[in-house]
Amino acid sequence: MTLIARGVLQPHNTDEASGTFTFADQTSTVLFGASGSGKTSILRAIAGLPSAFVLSQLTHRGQSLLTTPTHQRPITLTAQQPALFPHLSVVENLRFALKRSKPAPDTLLDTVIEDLGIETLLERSIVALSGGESQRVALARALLSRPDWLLLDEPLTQLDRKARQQLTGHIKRWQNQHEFGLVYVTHDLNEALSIADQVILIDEGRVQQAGDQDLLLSLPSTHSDLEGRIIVATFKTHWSEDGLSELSVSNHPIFLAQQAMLTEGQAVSIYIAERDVSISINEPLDTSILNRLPVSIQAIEADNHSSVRLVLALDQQVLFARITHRSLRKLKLQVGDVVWAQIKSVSLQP
Amino acid sequence: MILDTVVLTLQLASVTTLILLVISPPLAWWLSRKNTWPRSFIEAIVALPLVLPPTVLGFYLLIFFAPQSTVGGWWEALFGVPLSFSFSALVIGSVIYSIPFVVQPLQSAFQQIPNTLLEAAASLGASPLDCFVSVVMPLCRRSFITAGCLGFAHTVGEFGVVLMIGGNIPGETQVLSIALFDAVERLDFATAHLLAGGLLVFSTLTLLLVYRLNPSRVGPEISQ
Repeated sequence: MTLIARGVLQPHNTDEASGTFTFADQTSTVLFGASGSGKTSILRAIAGLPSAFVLSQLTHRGQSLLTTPTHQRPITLTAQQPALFPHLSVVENLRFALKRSKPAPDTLLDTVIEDLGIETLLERSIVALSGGESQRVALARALLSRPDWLLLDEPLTQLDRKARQQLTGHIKRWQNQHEFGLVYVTHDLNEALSIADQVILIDEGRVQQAGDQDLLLSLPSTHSDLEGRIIVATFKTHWSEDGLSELSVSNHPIFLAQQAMLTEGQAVSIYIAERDVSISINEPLDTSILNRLPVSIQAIEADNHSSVRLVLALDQQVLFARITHRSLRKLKLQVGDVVWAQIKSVSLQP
Repeated sequence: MILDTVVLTLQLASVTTLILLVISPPLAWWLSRKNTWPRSFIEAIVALPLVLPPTVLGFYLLIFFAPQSTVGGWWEALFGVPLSFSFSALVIGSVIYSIPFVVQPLQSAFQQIPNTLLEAAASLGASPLDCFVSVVMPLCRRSFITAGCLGFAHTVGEFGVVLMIGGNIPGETQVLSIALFDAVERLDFATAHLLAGGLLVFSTLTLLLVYRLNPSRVGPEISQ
């Protein structure tokens, strides 16, 4: 019970064997790859729209969809640029999808509206929406069309990190509740981590690697636009009088704002943005920053004019620090040095 | 007498416009979405009445409509009345003569509809016809009104084709522009003034309506 798409990305490729994408029913797959790797083309081909990815096979639950016209495929694609209908208001756009979907419970519309936080936009005209608002509405519309397969092509790019985190949580929950398959294209490692059951790395329309979330964590940093890293920690204890929760990363304490739902011994993912990490040669004891980890410098990536990214390792885990060229020179940092990473803020991943 | 002519002219223009509003949207849609050799050919045929002297068109239609011709013969066998010099002949002639005025505004409006909207509608489960009715038509509402107005006004104002195929039969095929020509021939300038002035005012008002509807351009209401 899967969706299988096989084809080649023209003009790069004529080898079909490596262009076979298999998506298991009711699971979510993240397509991950650089710009131009064919992610969007693959989604468009599956949806039945003109595409450089030429399909030779498209099978859904054992039936071929190859010649089925777009509107009859049990598939909804939401493009990166939300194509909302400008002659309809926000709520009319949502009803457009609802009217053409499988029979739905009456409460569905209200639930979607509430989940996506668009209650105040309903009567607005499409042209009066910001980029982020449009993406929320487009996502709501796609969810309301209740397909067997939902294809989302970078659906949250115009939203801030907090909203992205919240919405990926909702998408994931919808996917579980409503039992559809999800194929999700993103450049953002955080989004990928909160969505993926399965991860497929793509290059030139070919499957480079397929696997679970661990695949994402092992990626070299050049693979993503991520400006931070996610590391795994274990929950230790609450410090209620300070409003903090204590986690442990390789036996070093990490504090963050109290998270009441955590239980002792629970493994959690935390996100550390590279801009929140600074470097000290000696252990910084007289500082207000609570979180510090001894790390070794694995690489120094001079990726722009004013600053460098340090790739820091602590046991098997990796985090980034963004520092200036000037600091790099002043501290005479080199690959292999052991230094202290001071971490200004840490956030919990869903 | 003038009233009969006015009624007949309005009847002709109404029937012609209705027929054009049925056949033009699919034609304009096809022209706006395809870019192939047959498209250019059909586009040229549709635009022909804009450049061809109406008498040329009228002449060929007259030949086609004659009872001894194939088309005229079929018509007479089918309906029992000859086609030439009838109201039906005027309608057919007017549809052909006014078609570019209806097809072209629609075509340029359709061309401005972004493909992304059509793709989104299809992906949400809208069939091509559903998509046309629920997305394309509402977006091109003004262009439909413009096309209807131009088709109507142009039919009211036609002269050459009607003169060739109509035969100037009062109450049957005599329309306003021909009645004006008649009045001038008879040196009946009072009637001529009335008819000419009336047509001038009508045409001005129609164009005013068209331009009020489309302040800047003919096209769909899409702001990006």
